[in-house]
Amino acid sequence: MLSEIRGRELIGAQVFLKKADLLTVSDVKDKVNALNGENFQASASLGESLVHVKYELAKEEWEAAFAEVCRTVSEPLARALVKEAQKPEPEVNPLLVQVVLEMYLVHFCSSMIESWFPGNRETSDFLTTIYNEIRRAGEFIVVHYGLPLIFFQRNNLSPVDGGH
Amino acid sequence: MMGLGHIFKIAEWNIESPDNLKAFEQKLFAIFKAVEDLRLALGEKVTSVDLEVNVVGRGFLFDHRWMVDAYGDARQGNMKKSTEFVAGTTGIGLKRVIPSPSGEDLFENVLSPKVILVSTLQEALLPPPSRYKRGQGPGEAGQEGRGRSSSSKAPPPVKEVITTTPHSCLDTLGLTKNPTTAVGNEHETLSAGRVIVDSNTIPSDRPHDLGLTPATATDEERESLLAARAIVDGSGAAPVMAVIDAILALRREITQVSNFLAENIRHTSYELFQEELDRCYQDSEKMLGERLLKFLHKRSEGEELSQSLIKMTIQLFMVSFCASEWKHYLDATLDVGEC
Repeated sequence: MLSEIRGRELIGAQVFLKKADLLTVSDVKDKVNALNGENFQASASLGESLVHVKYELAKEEWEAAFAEVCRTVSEPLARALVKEAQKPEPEVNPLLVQVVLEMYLVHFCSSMIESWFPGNRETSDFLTTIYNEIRRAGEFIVVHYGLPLIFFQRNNLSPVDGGH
Repeated sequence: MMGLGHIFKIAEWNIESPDNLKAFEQKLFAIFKAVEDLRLALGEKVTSVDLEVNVVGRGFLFDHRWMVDAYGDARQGNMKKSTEFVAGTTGIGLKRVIPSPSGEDLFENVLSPKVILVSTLQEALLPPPSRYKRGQGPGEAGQEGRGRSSSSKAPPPVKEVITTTPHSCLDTLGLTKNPTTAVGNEHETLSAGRVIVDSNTIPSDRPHDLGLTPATATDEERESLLAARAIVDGSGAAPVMAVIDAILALRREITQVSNFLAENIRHTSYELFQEELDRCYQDSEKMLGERLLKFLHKRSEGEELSQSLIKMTIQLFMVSFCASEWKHYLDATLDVGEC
């Protein structure tokens, strides 16, 4: 009985298994490098055009912004940004701008790439957990169920923050 | 991209003009396109292996086997950096995930993520130091500021397959709630001068390598220093790290020249008048110091030359020469000093 079930799984998985990779690992590396290059250029470009401005923010608004920055580029860096801004004669530190923007873009891009379902964080986390468990089990079923899920996620990409 | 607005709010940044904003938005389209492209590639176009993007979180120890120090320089070798902590990732990497029944995170590195180290950020964030300390190696300064602790976990022992373990007690990372304490010593030595320490072998009263080591400053000297630093730091055209890089490049040149001369200099006896000899002695004393000069004179009686002695003497001479040139240019202040 078990062999029949596994047999059917194998037939179903053939759709994916017999399909060769459409890209080489080297191709993927090139794409990662291309993305890094875009991020670097965007950060450098933005860094050159930034000026210091004093905002009038309500306490709640500032705290919400601070919490968000802690989540995206880490709390120490968020504190460093605040400290820089509070200097008597604040200036925009070019290296700090470059680093912070790059880190933010890495966070944004990686969350978009890795997320199973960018539109909903809970759903995405749920699917990620399932896939990791399947993969950890190391059985053939990983491929059988894993790939359709991957296809599922690819059709839901949109360039929004998506709860991240 | 809401998060970017939050960063702008707390950092008090804004884009200078609408044209710049438009230019940035254009670049965002390219980023979104690259993200979508990579997402499809990882999910649908490579199915034989589990490829994933690799991003290093804050708190990891730097590991040269699967990280690249994006803003590093030649000041430290990789082994040195392995004791430093990562502040964040500035360039996405790529890894092949290896399923582990135990649930451990195992992967094979495909493309190393680019990271920035905590120490690099510290240097970028600290104000220009009011004074430098000499004779202190980079590893000796401000270790507490780098977040090192005895509980730091060692890098993973496996070479090919890598497990990752972030450090758990890095709340401050040097960019701290109490940065004055944490990084106070860290920045005092920008690029420490190396000193001949074996006084039994080579008598020397001067450092033989370049460090930015101002002498004890009088008010006048301090003003000159501030003026010089304003030129160096003020416009952002030459940040402090660039100056350090230039110093290091000069060090390398000096080392190469001294190595070359040490291999090619031969012993020769000169016939000199006493006045001529005295003048040479006085000039040399200014550059090398009295003790080394006496030692050289004593050694010159024998015909055998010590390559290491020649090398160090040349280095001392060139460092003194460079420092005297700087003094001339900056109207005093930078000094190789005495250790």
